[in-house]
Amino acid sequence: MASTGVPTLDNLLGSDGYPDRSSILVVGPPGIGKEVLGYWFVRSGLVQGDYCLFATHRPVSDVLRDMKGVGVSTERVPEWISSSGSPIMCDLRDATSISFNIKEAVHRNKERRVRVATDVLSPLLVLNPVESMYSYWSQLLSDLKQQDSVVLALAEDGMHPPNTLTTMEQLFDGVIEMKLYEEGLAITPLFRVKKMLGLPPLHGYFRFSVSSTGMEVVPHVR
Amino acid sequence: MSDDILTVVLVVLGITSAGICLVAAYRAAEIGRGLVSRVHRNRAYWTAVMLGTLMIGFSDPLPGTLGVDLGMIAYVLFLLLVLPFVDGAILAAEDTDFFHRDTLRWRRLRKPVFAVYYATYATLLVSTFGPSTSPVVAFLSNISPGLFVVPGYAIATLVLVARRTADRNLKWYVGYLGVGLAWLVGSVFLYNPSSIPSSTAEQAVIVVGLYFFYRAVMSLSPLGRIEKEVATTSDQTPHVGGLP
Repeated sequence: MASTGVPTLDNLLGSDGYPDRSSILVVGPPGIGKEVLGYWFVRSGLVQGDYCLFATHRPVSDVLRDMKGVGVSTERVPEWISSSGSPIMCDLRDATSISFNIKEAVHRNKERRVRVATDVLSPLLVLNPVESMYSYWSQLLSDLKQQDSVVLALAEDGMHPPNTLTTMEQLFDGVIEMKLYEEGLAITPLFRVKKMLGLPPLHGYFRFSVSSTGMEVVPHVR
Repeated sequence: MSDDILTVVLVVLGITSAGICLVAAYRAAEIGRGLVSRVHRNRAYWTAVMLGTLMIGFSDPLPGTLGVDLGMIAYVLFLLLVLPFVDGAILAAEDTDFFHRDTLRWRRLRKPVFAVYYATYATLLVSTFGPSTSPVVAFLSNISPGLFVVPGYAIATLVLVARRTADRNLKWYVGYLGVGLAWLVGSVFLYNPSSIPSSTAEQAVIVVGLYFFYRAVMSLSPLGRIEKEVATTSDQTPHVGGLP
């Protein structure tokens, strides 16, 4: 299993992390903290000696600043594919090059376990027809899973029609949804595991908190 | 309709205005508390602060009855806070722009813009409350209308960056703010403190405008409702959360 990087989440999944050779989709609105799961996932991989690749539409400097802000150490950093600050560029207008670069980077490191975290799914879905993106991601995930890799993709809730994300969820072995929920007058950030490869349905909601010391996940009790 | 009945209606509308602002400010603060990203959290918090300011200004339909001009206090506060409020919304909107464009060079110019705005704000305060016979005050009162150019630039940037983002909730947020502001500005044309019917109509328009601000708050982030879990007979899976 590939540790999520968040010990309480590993316990929650009951299997010490995400399944090997799997793809996980994390869906949530802007600002909810989806990226934090990606940061901890990559950090955990670096500590364990995995090859880690972070494909992002943001500049490397922005991502590093965010990582420090949520307590993720940047002593070791993944290989980057980004809009600026990395040798391999992420051009959202050229989806083919993004896929090629990810696959090439993973193939170069096929002797190691690989972790790929990416936030380019939503921008590519916005810029391209959903049908072509379905094939695109299907091929990319299939290729990556043939290597010993775990892929964590982040998607923005609120930027796509609901049926678009539902369609894309079918491609992934695990889906985690993060959202703000109303409980009377209070508003609470919760997430739920909609599905996860190898696990029985995980009912219920889980409260998460992010601070400069890390992320914590606990079952939510009303 | 007699003035007594209209006065009662006016007071009720004033209480309604205050109630809408209070609930909306609370919801905005709660949403901010639930978000992780600093820019999105700040946008929610600044929205709560602005609604608190509007509550001060619009919840006193009978000016002077409380012994203090709440409208003037709210106006001064509004001018103080409008720029960081709009700036917070711009930064949150730019965060959701996948191409990270610097719309109208806002990110590069925001610090000098803030400096110019607050310098002009200080001159406005001096020109308003300073001694009228001073030539310095007279000069400052001539240049203080320039104060309103800066928020105009900020609002134009916000509208443009909202058009560029794919975040539908943010587009709704900016749209509701615009409609709410239009209603509030429209209420100014009904302003006539010596006429109870005019004041009542003005306050009714304000209530409608504030409702759109409330809708803007509800667009800060999509909110879900916890589904009731259905218990299964074979309890192999953990049932936590969502259960009373």
